[in-house]
Amino acid sequence: MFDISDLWVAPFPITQSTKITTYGSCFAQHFSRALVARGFRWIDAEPAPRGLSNDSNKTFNYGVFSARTGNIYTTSLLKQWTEWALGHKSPPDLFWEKDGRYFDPFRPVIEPDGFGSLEELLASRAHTIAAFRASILDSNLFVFILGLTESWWDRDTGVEYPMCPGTIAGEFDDPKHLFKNQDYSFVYQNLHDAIAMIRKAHENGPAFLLTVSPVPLTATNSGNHVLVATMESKSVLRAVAGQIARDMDDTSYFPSYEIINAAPYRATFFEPNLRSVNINGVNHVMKTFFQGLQELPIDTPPTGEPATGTDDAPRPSSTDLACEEELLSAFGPKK
Amino acid sequence: MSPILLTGDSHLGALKHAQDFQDDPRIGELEFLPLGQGYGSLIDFFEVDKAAQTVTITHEEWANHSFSQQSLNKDGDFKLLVVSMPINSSRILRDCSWHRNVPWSMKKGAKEAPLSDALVQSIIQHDCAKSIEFMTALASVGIKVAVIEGPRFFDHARYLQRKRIDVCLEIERRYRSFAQIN
Repeated sequence: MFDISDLWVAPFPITQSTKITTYGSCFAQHFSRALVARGFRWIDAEPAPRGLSNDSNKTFNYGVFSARTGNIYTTSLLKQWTEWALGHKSPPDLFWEKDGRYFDPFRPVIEPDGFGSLEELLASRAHTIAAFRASILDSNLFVFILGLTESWWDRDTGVEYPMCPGTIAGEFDDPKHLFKNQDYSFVYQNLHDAIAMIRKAHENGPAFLLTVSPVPLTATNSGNHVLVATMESKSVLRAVAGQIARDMDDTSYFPSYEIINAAPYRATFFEPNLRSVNINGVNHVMKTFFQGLQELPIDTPPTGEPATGTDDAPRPSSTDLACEEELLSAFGPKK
Repeated sequence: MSPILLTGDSHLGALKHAQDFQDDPRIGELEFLPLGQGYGSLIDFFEVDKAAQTVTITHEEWANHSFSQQSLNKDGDFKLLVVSMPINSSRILRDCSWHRNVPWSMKKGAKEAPLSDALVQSIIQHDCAKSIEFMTALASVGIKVAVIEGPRFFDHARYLQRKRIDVCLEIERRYRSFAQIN
């Protein structure tokens, strides 16, 4: 089974001097950790302040993505963050409230207990947008992990939320909040627009590495069974990523999804719950990635090391990683 | 005056120097039991035995010592144990990057990262949590214990360089407030 090789070869140079930024769904966290562990130049545009404990580093979502955006599940969310970062649009002063605390609807779990005031929330969001901008304008390679097609929108402002309102905080308001299961053309256009915008603002780059999260949906609002919804959603994302890689220069598709989900691997890379990817799967994905770079020895350290932090701490399992979908699993609607 | 035992981290050195310069005969009633360097207080460094009413130091690099009211009576008829541990802002002002990070409400420059109040508190809590647990544990086994608060930083402290003094004062204020409440 592990004799399967040559799944991917980098079509452009990726070396330890390449400045790499990572965003997307929660599987992107594995890329940042592995890149740091192997001495690559992963951009941390919003680093944790020194003195923060390892636990707080995780709780406050530092060192996960190149800025504290939280998960960017959809291509339209990527476009939205890009528009804000490049000044094409401004985010509305929306917030969700719970028990007197203020939660950022665009980063609902970025602070474990929310913010103390709207002003505090907006100051933090503005800094993250600036950090996101710095990371995309400084990078030579942008790794983006496509995660979902199901999305939640605010009718009045036209903005997209990464989670259904009311899941973490706030309240779901039927006429005000809209559900959209994005189709192929919508996903394609938003990803195309985001890449084009970034490259227009950043003359010589970056190259894009696209991959699809292999983690199945926990719940769906599509009306289909979650198994059927997962297959449809991942199929759309996989097809878009492949097509964009063919249509746009310096853009490559990396097969994370296939490595974990393809039949020859017999679901061996899943935890017993058949949803969470185990550490062997993560390591195999990252090993395939580094093998594809060709110029590096593959006998490199295992993944799973924290990207930042100053304290000694037990090595995290893949399930330690912050993933809003796990919250959905515990508190959200079940299908 | 009843004998008093002072224990804690390297801060005891400064207190001992002060004692050496004093003529007051009552100062001679103070005895010192240094435990080790203050950085050791960032990890679990003691165990509590409720049945034996003892608190025992477990840190490998620290003094091997058990505290109980009984042993304090026996060792020198000490009536009070005074603890001086890192419950002041000096370590986090020195080690944290306050020239790039500020409490959100104090942000001025574009390069300053606005930290949420909860995050600042998390840094403070991490710095002093074990020390406060230690002091609480000593009291919980019946030891008469008092706590020495470290002084506010001096304006010539080297670690203040490149940092806004108003930010340092605010961190100092929050730290002291947190430690006193807990």
